[in-house]
Amino acid sequence: MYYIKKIVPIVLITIFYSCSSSKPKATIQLSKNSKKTNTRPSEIKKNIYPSSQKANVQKDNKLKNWQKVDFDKLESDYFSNSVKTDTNKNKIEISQNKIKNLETLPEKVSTKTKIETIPQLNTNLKNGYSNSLRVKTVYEIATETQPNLFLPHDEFETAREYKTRVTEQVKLMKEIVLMTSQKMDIRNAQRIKIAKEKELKKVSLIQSLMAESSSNLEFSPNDIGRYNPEKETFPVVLHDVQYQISVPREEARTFKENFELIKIRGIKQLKPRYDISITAKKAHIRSRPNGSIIGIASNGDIFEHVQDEDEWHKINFKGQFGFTHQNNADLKLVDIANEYEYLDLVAIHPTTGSLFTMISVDELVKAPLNLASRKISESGLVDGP
Amino acid sequence: MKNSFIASFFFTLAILGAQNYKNVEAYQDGLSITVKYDMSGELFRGDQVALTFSIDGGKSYSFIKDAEGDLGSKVLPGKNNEINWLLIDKDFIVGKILNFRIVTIPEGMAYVDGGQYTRVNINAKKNEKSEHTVALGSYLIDKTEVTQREYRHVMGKFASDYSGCMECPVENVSWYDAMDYAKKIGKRLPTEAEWEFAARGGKNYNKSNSYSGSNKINDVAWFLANTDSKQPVGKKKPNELGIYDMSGNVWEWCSDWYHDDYFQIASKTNPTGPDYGTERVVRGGSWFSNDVFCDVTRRYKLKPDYRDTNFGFRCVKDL
Repeated sequence: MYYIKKIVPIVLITIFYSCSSSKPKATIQLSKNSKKTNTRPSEIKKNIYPSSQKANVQKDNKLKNWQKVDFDKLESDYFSNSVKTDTNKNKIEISQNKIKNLETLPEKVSTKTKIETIPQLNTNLKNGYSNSLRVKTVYEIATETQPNLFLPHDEFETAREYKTRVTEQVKLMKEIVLMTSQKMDIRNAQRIKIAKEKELKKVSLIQSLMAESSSNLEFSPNDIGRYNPEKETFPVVLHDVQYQISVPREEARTFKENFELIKIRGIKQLKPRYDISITAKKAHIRSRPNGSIIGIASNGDIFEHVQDEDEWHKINFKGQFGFTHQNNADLKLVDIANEYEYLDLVAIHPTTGSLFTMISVDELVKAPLNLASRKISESGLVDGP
Repeated sequence: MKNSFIASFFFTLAILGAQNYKNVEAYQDGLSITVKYDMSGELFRGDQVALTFSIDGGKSYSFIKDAEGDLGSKVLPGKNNEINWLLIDKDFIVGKILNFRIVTIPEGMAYVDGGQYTRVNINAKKNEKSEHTVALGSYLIDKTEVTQREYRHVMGKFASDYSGCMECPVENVSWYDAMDYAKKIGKRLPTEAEWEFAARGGKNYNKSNSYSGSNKINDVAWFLANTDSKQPVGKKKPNELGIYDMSGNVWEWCSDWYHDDYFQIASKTNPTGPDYGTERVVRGGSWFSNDVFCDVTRRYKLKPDYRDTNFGFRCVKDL
């Protein structure tokens, strides 16, 4: 009953329009004239004749998509548009011919023509603008795909044959709708894959730039601080960063006496820059670790990462520093900074040749965990809203 | 070493560079439209790639919300980026000739679709009421008034009357200060027509709303009856375009010179105000205003060098 209800108006409309030869002509002419309306008949054709397996897929929930489409409305839209198209047909054809002609515009052309046509060309050349595209109805697409199915009803075709043909037309249009939905799903999957590949490519580019910038380093310190006999360390400053050199007490005296001859070796490379991507549904942004809440971020929000403090990320939150718990966010390598970081630094004793490790004070001195943060890390719960 | 420096320099340049969208090609594939484009220049954090379409031959472009693909804030530069737009249930474009445009929407800005609105002009002196249709192209507008924090960040100083609220709108700024700020960040002040069109909610505005986003002033505005000082931006309900505080909080400078009857003689398309004058337009009312001044149609004027604790601004950007 449903199909009969749907088919009868289409049959009537098609009979009516088959008597008028102007409609299909106009449609076909338009699509032929327009190079830019790039429907790919071959692709559609391929998809329109699905295998039995594909037909089975139709039964899944994607059927809902085409069921939403009101074919009667699409038909009436088409015809109303085609009527409009008929009245505007000349205009459209003229403008399309203009575009076509522009592509092969001869050198000797009157100034008047140039003035009329240049703006159209410029529109397509501008940053971000697309070509013009006439949106086809499902009926037009189906007609292009299987023209024979949409020929006018003639005197040699029985009513039964014609009815069968119209049923096929409706089926074809439904298949076009269904195939569109399926194609969108496939495209989405491909897109996610490509995005991941791009992301990996970018990360590997940054990593290779960092590796390229990496070089060995050897220098003598200008000055060395007072020895701490309790911790058995010397303080030393390198590029505004304070380090501690761990030197046992038995070698500390000779180490300091000959500090001008000490060699510090290590690696320097361009510093990576990270972004923070919020992974929790909602995440509090705090003024300091476990401090007062200064804002709430949502899943997917991205912020500039400043540094890590304990299990907290320090971020740039709307122009001010904020902290979010590591459980709420992922670190993403996005760039390299215009400054170096120093890795694997060791100090060499000038007389004994012993190697002593150097650790930056930032890495060495961690902010103490307070109760609330310990509670979070122990429970494994995110710092929710 | 030298190579790595050069590489890093160009890499940073690429990251900092503005986006360029080239080879934008649209075609129909079944009942969906695919738009392919090449993108150069990485997005700034929070900026978004958006797709817009025009059915009037490129005169105005409308924002597409339901397209899928290389859109939003995570798009990476490259060739053959792809956007798909499903045409099912979109009868309003079937049979029409479409043009597409890809744009970048900076963080904190709203896209205003071009369109037209009817401007009601009430001349109290002459006791006259007149209506004029104004047409505008698409543009971007700040979702909130410029805050103290933003102003200090750009100008390197607070406006004179900073009272400790960094997220409150900057005030005590003259029209010249506002222009300087806008110029520094590659934006401009809105024309009066742009301000009003955005305040009303764009081309699909609700005529019955007296205030930006509602007819109930308390939902959308800080004004004399519900506050005794300026308030942090974006705390009330936004209007239809996602823009906050266009009614109340602080008056907002517009770029136009003020004239009582300007809209009777103004160009109907993208009017930019009289050529000369002595006072500039301010709109929207403030925390120190009665509800009548917060009406989206209400106009006010000030000498451009005037500063006070209830006058601020927001910026717009051309596409």
